[in-house]
Amino acid sequence: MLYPNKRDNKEIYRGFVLSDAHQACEKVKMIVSRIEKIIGIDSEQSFDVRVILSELLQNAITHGKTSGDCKVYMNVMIKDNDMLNITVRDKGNGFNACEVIQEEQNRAEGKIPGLTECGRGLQIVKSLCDDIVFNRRGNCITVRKRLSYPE
Amino acid sequence: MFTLKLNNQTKDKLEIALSGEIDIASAPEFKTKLYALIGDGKKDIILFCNGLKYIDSTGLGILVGALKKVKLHQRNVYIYQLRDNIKKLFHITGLDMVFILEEAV
Repeated sequence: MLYPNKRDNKEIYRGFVLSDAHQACEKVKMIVSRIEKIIGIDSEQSFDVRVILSELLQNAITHGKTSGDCKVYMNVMIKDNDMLNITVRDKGNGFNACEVIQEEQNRAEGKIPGLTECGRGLQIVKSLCDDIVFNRRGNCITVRKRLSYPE
Repeated sequence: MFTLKLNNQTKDKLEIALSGEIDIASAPEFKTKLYALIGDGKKDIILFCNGLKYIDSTGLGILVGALKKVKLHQRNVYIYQLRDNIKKLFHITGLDMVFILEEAV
């Protein structure tokens, strides 16, 4: 079969998230709860998924603020039964994602002296996910994470 | 939500119990309360985190800010009893090499 059976794909969430911190947090919790209900992931995976969603939303909200209030588009799906796909897109001008991740990595490895209070989100996402892909403009990110069913 | 409770203080250290969840919604309040407890930063900070269930990069950044305050006075931040999933975030970000992490007192 060339394409995965559509029945194996489950849409968890598709829509916009407001930049308000409280609403973003509630949306993240709601999405994690849906994933828990659908495939019954354990608490460690729930924690990881919550962190990934939160970091992606924070990143989009921070970089997407071109004027006033901003909305972030998010799509969350489970493909082929166990592959979590998350796409987050903002309306900002984007940024050089590879450069940012490399800088965060260098800081974690002590190659950049000094402590900063921000700039660890993408590094965490990259570490917790199997794949991370940006569009050319740098305002849309898609990550994939394989989930495991409880035994 | 989270709770931040001052358990004990001496002339050299503050012992603080941190529990609950620190996300982008609760982070501003966490920052205000933690920095108020730290004050001028002239004491070591001992954070007991066995009740801490969630934190992300925003909360980690606030802890880094606290560390910077006390480092100005050659003091340190000790973080005790982190749950494994949260400890993993410290490892990923290299903050396990910056803070003093301990399993127990």
